[in-house]
Amino acid sequence: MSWIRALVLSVALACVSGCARETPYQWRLPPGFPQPRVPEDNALTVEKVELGRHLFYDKRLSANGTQACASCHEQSHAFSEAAATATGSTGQKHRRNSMALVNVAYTATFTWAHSGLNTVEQHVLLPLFGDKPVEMGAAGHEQEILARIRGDATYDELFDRAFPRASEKVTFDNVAKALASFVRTLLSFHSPFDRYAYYGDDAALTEGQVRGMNLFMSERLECAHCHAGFNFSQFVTHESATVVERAFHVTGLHPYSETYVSGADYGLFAVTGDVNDKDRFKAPTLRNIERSAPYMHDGSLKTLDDVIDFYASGGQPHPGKSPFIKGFTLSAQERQDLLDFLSSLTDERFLNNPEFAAPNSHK
Amino acid sequence: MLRCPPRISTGTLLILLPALALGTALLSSCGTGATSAQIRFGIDGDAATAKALQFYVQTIELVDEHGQPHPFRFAVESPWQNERVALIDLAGDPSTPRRLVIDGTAEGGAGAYSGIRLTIGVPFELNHANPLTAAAPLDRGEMFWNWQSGHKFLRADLAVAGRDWSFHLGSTGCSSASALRPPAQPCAEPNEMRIELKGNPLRDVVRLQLSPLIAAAQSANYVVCTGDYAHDPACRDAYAATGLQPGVPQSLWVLQ
Repeated sequence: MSWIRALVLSVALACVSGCARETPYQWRLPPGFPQPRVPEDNALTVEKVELGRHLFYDKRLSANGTQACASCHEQSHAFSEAAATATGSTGQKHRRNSMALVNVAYTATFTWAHSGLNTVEQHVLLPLFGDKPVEMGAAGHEQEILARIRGDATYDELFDRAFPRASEKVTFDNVAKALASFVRTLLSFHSPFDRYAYYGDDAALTEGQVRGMNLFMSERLECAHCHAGFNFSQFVTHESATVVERAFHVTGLHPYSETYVSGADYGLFAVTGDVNDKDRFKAPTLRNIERSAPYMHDGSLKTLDDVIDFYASGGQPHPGKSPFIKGFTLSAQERQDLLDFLSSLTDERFLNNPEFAAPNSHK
Repeated sequence: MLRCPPRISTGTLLILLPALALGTALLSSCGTGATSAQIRFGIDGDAATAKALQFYVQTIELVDEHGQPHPFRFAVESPWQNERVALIDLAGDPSTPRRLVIDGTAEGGAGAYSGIRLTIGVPFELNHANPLTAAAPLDRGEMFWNWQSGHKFLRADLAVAGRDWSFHLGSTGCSSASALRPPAQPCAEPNEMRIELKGNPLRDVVRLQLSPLIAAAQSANYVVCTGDYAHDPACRDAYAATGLQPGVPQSLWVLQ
């Protein structure tokens, strides 16, 4: 072991002579919550999170300088946007709704329908480099974009602090690592529901919200079957998780089509090529759902009332439809209770947290 | 023409194995015929329609007049190729350079060949690593295929009759792929194109024929084919031209 001691000593001595400090990020979680998983090669530090915050809000990261991550992921909308579907930096339309970025540190697989995107680092490649459609449009403009960042004194310091030991600091790999680090810190655990559920505060929810929660969890409505667990989504992983459910579902939002329509969105099928995956999508988190309208993968439902109407109807006919989507009827009071419960998932502290907001230099 | 010594039988090899040095000497004596060579690539057709034409090549064999294949080893240390994979760039952004050759070594010497075998694609072991730290030529963002966790093998962006049309081919059905955990099994549709062409590979040019792609673009009912090759009518004709459909010979490549 002596060589390890020698190594530690030499690193320590090197640091005395001026190496920057990497400060481990301290999670702020409800009591007893497991810590999120962080990839071994991208330890979460305060410095990376701060660099990532700057990059997240920086339009220079898109090839034509018109769009930042934050352009489609706005804090006031729980890091989603009000548009039904996203539009990329060159004006190309995306066919899907921008997903909210809430507790993604616990998310086991990313996008609306993908079974293999397991880390935020991997996911950020899609908006950065994707070309069908173009989002940030970085492909083919990598050096141009990195040169813009290298020319900025603020970034020189931020990269130095975030990656003090890297020989080359301003690289897309480090950009992806910093963006992933920032996005991992976007935790929402201060909603009235959280105070009721995890801090034992009986007064945090109204009587109507408790009735709505019980409806949400009931076998009559079956909402909680897919919107399950503390993230209201089955795709959850953390340090102690041993099993992650592969939970993609057919809701019957659109009727089943035997013939293949070019350009249509068939969800997971596009990734796996398995016809049984046709029209399967992930059940997204419902945290801050009141603020992330419009809804569904294509943004086709404008309000939560519309969403309840849709699930109450039982959806369109589809051979792969989830057996839990079978329709229900609600009294006016029950519907209001359910809506009130969904609004208890709104976390004002998350939506207004200055740590998640644009740095002054990007305002 | 320099010829390799007669093939060493497995039995002989077993006898020779204990004397590894001797075996190596025998094998490398074949290498005395090895010669530096270049495989050239080009377009057959109206190049003006091509906005982007790029593809990766992972193996090349030169076929002699007896039908025997001889490896063509890729030269290393270039932004365009390493010993495992090479990028050919026939058309693209006018402000960036093109690449029309693969440099390497013809292990069978410079003699008479009657054909070439190529595998278009990226080796499975390399295809699913983190592209942001991948060695050249797998560092090209235009060829990233992140939604399938890999690289495009062939990218063809054409402008035909005033309409942009794209055919992007790569491995699909890689559902277990992840930057940190490469898929344990090959993808459901690897889509590596193995092609064999007649001609003299050290004299002729491997040409990508645009006519099947232009015809596919004209018949396609949609502007993009980037997956669902077997199901999407927008992909049907282009995919058939690749030779990946059982029973349908490829019509994209010629050696001339």
